Amino acid sequence: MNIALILAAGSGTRMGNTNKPKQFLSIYNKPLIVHTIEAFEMHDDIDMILIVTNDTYIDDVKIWCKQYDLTKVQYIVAGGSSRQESVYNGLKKLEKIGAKDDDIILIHDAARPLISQTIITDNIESCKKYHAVDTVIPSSDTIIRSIDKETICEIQKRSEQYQGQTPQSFTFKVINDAHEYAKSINNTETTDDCRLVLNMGKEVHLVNGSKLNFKITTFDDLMMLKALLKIGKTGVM
Amino acid sequence: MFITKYKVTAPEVIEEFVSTLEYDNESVLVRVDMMAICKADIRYFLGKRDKHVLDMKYPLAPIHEAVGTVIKDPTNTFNKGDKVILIPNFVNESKCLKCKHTRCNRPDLGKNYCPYAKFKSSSSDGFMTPFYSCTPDLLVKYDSSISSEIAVFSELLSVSNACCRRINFNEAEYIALFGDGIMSYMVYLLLTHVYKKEVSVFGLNEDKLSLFKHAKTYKFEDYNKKNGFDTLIECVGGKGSEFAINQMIDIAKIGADLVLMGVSEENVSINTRKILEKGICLKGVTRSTNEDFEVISTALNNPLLVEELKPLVLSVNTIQSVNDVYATYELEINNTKVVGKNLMKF
Repeated sequence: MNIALILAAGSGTRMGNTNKPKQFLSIYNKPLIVHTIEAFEMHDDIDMILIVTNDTYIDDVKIWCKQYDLTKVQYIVAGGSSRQESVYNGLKKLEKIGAKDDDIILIHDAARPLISQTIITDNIESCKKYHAVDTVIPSSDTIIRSIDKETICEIQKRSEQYQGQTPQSFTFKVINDAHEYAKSINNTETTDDCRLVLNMGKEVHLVNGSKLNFKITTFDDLMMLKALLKIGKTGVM
Repeated sequence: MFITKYKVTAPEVIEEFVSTLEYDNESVLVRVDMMAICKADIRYFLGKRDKHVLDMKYPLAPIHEAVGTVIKDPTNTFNKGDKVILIPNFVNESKCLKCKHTRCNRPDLGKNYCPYAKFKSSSSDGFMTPFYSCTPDLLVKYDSSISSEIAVFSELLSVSNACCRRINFNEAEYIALFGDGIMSYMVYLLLTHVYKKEVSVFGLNEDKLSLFKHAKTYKFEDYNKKNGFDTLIECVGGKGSEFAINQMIDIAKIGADLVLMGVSEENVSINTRKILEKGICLKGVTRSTNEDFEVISTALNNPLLVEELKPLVLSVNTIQSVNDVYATYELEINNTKVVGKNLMKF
């Protein structure tokens, strides 16, 4: 079984003057999260969708699922205080409903609505082979590391640098074990599931992402998405 | 849901456009499984139309040969997972009551010659998008055992069937096909496997002619070795169609039908004296009707037909970015020697 675990528990504190988390903002009369869920809903190989969201939005998400006929969404669970805890809550729900060790879990940010069908397919196919995969794009900019925020302490070779996106996909056993291990050593603030798997000494393979699969994190990102959509609305005779 | 469409925005320029997928309770939502590039798509891409026409068309999503899978159907016409052929031609029936042409009901013509008809990738955006929604009458189901790589040739086959509808088989004992390209091959397949007719094919390239296994084949220069055809079908197009049509007129029987299928951007000069002398009838075919697509959907169940379609799949190219679209167009533009198509899927 291929299960999409969509993370929508972020608080949206970087979205300017709105109090509403970004994943619930309306874009073309539809909440952003619905656009993202639809990408998985439409994919033939996705069997089930689980949403992890803020407690206060669970009812809204339920209503949207009905309103937009999102039949693959079978579970909506409350998120935690960190990204790691939210994923953990989702995994525990899957464990409870009897997820199998070799089920593939695609963990995806609700705030990446431009996820393509190809990226979903590639995640599933690569995960079948490698059990742990990360969606990435080659970095076109040089990544500078600074610890004191004033001076450079490291510049790595650009050809070896990638930008991580989502989905990050794993077989259920791999990701569940990684989270349990992290919990057992009190590692609770990791922002990346691949990091947890690497901590277990396992390999994580790369899947090609897309520049369009960017995350709506700031107000500028939202403007970028709206600009893209406006260009796309150009008419044809 | 957001989807990426690809549109030709200027000669040799294709751009990505992001838009929302729009569908309602009267539409069927389809995932596009396979697409093929037509010569008309290449003409729009290369800008080989009148500048004024091109300025009116761009930006334009290409592709009118495509098949897909039904994702949702609130109209209950199809089941989820049904494989469907996407029909590119549609008529605005609201104008029918005031129409002065009154030709739609003629079975050899059909509604697609309606001046108000629109055609995908020409007068409206084509199928170059991962998802597509339309009313159920613009889809025809085909058997799920047929691969999408084969079914994607349905549109070309449907136009070939429209050609066959223009033939009076009771009077057409000897049929000649002019052209050794894919259009000619499609007509040959239908005449051979569906209408069970013998056919002679005239072409330029011996390798291409060797594909027409069940036909008698001739080089153009040997055209006068075989004479006396009741129906002659032109699938050459372009400047070469002038040469071909005049040869066809030469070897046509008195009272023969000439069916023209090749598109030429320029006027061609033909021997009208001989047309008059022989009482030849010229007919034009470029479009097909829903009924043609139904015929093809059934014909695809014939394993002999499917077997002869297989060599036409030259490559299947996955489209992940605009670069992949350019690369596939380049393959198609450069393919002048092999009968077949370089297909695309998302």
